[in-house]
Amino acid sequence: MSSPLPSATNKQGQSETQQASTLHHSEVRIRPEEVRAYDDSSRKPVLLAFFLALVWLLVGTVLGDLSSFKFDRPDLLTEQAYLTFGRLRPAHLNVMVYGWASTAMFAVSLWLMPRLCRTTLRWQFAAVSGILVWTLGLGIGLVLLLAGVSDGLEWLELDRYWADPLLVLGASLVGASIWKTLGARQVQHLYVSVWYIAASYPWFAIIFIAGNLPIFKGVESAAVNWFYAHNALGLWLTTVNLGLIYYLLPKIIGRPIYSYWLSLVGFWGLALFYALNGMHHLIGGPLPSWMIATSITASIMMIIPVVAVGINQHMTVVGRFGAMRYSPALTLAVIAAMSYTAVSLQGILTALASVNRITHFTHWTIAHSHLGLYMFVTLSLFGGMYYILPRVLGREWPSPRLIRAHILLAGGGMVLYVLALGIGGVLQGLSLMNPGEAFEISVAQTKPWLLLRSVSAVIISAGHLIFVYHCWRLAYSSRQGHAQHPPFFELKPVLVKKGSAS
Amino acid sequence: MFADSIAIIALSLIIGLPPLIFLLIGVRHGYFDHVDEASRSIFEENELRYHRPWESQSQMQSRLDHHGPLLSNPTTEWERWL
Ligand code: HEM
Ligand code: HEM
Repeated sequence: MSSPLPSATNKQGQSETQQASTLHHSEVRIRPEEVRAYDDSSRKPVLLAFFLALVWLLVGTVLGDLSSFKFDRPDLLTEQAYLTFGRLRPAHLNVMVYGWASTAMFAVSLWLMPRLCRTTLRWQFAAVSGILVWTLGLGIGLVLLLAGVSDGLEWLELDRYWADPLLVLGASLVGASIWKTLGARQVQHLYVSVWYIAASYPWFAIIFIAGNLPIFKGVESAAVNWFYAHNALGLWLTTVNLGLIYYLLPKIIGRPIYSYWLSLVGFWGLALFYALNGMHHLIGGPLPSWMIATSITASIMMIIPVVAVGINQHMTVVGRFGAMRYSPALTLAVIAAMSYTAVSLQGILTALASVNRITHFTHWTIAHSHLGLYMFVTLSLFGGMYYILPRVLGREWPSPRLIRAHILLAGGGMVLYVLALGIGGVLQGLSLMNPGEAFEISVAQTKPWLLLRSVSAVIISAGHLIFVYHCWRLAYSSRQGHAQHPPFFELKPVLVKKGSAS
Repeated sequence: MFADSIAIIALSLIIGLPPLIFLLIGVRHGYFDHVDEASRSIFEENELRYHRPWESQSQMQSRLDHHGPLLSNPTTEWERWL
């Protein structure tokens, strides 16, 4: 930290274009006071959404833990219908996806858009109401779900008459605030995160309404179900988080994204190919083969945007991994970005018919889900919270020890989860495929891996509790953090080039 | 037999075609003409000149060459860690 700053040298060596562009850009650079005004304008909805997201995170964690323990002890809590696996599992999915991730994504979008559009947040009231209406919808849907009222379609279980209209209204109100802010922007150019975030809201509204229309029957209903669920992943959960990562990495590292062109390839590739992917969830199902073949081809085409994003994000950080010692937000954003590449490559592999034949009915898919929704989406949102909350609240996180504990427990626990179920899933699949082995053998084979998952569930839950406690201290404690060192300062970085200062 | 699904084809087009149209509109209106400017637009005034403690001498030198003499971050961001 005390390394001397190199003295100023003249900049004659600089190319003319660089000079010209520096001058030009310095004219449009934002002043820090402006940024504070933008943050102030989104403060209310951002804090509300983060608060609600944390509540949902805790609820979802309990539901996930119970679902996991039931694999080890199937007789656990079976007396009450609402505590049975068939209700707790969809409740976990819906609470985590719509409660935790989506609500935190509202906060992230509402905080980022004013900064990127260089204007204050418009229709703040719509945003606040949207978040509350969304939460009410989810609350109603969750109670009904636990009471046994479900639409019976995965990812779309919430009641289509009482809950879903509120979710659509809530997301539309937040989206209206986002788009109004976009319309009032003071900049001509759109940073890549703006494309990602602004597009996510109409995409979500269209797919969610389409998925819930009660007009589809039989196989077509399954097809629309997976059209929805896969696009919910790719055009909602993925897009907002990639937008966030595209902001955090360059901002913290202090250099523009490696190639802005590649970032555009990543966005438009996703926008153009993703909608065709959904049917790869139904490989082996009674669908016309052209639909499956199209979706497998589109899945393979996803390599283009995925590699574009991966190279771009890697090249932005390369040589500066030491910065992760200083910033937990960066640490999490880097792990999330790497996980995005990993889960997508795993997904492309899983979409191949020969692989899917083995893995489809196994825990491999659950490993993939959590690699995506936890190691990518959730860690990216944690990173966003580490970056955004101190700026919105105007104070620093109180304790580096708590940050370190949270990241190590949540990240380490989930690595264990994904590895255990990844290995267990393949063994289970191979056993299922073996005509010489009885079905029970495939079940017995997964037991130790499921137990490991439950161990990891406890570890991750401890991480969540610590994080929520730390957020509470950040919000309510009057003492300021005066840490000497950042949370990972003592760790010797493994990815830092020789000769780097860190 | 279930030969195809008009719903899925229509939905895929509803989701997939507007981006294509927006892409063309974006190109026509010059949204992609100043990519450098767009990629730097997230930085505050002087932000690229802040000294970052993890950078090597050569990285600092390159920062200095490109953006001018280095400054300490006024919000002492790296000292107080993000
Ligand atoms: C405490 C951490 C977590 C634990 C212990 C946990 C546990 C579980 C369990 C036991 C299942 C059921 C698996 C099965 O049916 O075989 C599941 C499914 C699922 N979880 Fe989690 N989970 C956690 C965190 C999350 C988070 C943060 C998200 C989303 C943001 C999430 C999203 C999902 C989804 C989407 C499914 C359904 C997966 C599929 O159908 O393939 N989970 N989880
Ligand atoms: C190019 C990228 C991707 C491809 C090709 C892909 C492919 C797949 C395939 C083929 C399945 C179905 C597995 C089966 O049921 O047999 C699947 C399931 C899943 N994927 Fe991906 N994936 C990709 C990226 C992602 C990302 C980025 C996320 C998370 C943000 C994600 C989350 C999930 C989840 C949660 C499921 C389980 C859905 C369920 O059964 O409930 N995937 N993926």
